[in-house]
Amino acid sequence: MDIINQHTETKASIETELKKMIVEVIGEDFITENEISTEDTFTDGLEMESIEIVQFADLVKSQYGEKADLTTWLSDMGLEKIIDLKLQEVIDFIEHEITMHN
Amino acid sequence: MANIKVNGLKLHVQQLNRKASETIILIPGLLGNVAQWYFTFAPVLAKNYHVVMFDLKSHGKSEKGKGGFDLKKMAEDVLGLMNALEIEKAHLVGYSFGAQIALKFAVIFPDRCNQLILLESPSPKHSMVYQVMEEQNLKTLEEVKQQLPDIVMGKVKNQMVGEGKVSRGKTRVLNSIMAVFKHLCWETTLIEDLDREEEFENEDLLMIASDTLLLYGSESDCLDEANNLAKWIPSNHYLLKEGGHWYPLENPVEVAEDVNNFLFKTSKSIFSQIKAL
Repeated sequence: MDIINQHTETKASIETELKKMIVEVIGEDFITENEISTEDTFTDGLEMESIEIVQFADLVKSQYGEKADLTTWLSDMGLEKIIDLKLQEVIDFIEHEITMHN
Repeated sequence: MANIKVNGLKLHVQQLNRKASETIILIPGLLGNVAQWYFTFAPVLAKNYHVVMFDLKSHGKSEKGKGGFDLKKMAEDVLGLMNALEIEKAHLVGYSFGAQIALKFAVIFPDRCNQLILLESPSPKHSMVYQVMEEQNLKTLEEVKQQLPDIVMGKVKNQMVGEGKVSRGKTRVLNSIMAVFKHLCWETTLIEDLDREEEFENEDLLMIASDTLLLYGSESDCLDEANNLAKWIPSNHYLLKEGGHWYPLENPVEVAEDVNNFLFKTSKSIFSQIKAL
């Protein structure tokens, strides 16, 4: 498998994992994986509460450990940027960090 | 998500930089939760300290309790958390009701409290209960308990969506906030506990051994208490910033830098005192 395909596969699997986590946090009664777009923002698009974003970051930490330190990455951004953050940006960040560690 | 059982209830706890030698515990205000610190305030402090954040009982993702919302019991929850995490001594940072808890902790467990940082600590007699009674002309605690959820939710809804249509997601968030409110007002002793709370005794404030930072907004309605604490706590540093009661929540990074500087300066002065001995 060439490098481009490896990256695509990693991004796709990260996307699947993150969508599962979002459903876990918000609850199946309110959202399904099919309803989530990678262009959704966490606050306006997915309409998550701030405590739910903390829970999501915690799940990311459990899944990807120190390889992708989401908390530090987010804290360097400032609050305004976090509010506008899209799911795709988190996927790109995790994929980048995993690639760097391998 | 880390849950730690403290005094019979599971509290939601988050930690950053566990390897650091000194610990800071962050105590949120009423209706707050770890999210108020997690992405902004805590990471600044975590560059130098082990930071512990937790949700008060019946708040955020912590388990619901029925009673024990008085400052003494809340301070005992902080102690229980420290014991569970094997933390001998910690710096305490509290905001609003959380600052009152931190202050109570410093009074009753002085040996476990390092430096103390009080952000917008109101007088226990200037609680949400008194404010609502005054604003809404309510006469009894029962009236407060019945009407408070709707009064506050009206304000929150207005802030979140204004006059616009409420989406499914926002309805979910509003319902979730309302559920917490109803639980606190109708199923717990919170309102009675807030009402029963007494002012801190001047003698107790005089005995506080911790270096204390008092940080308030210049437009805050808690300045009477700020002046009182500045008068009685022996070693205090009083910082007045441009803003109101929400200043620490609206300017988390700036406040975290102030806390960092305060801890650094006071540690240095303690170090020089030890050297001088």
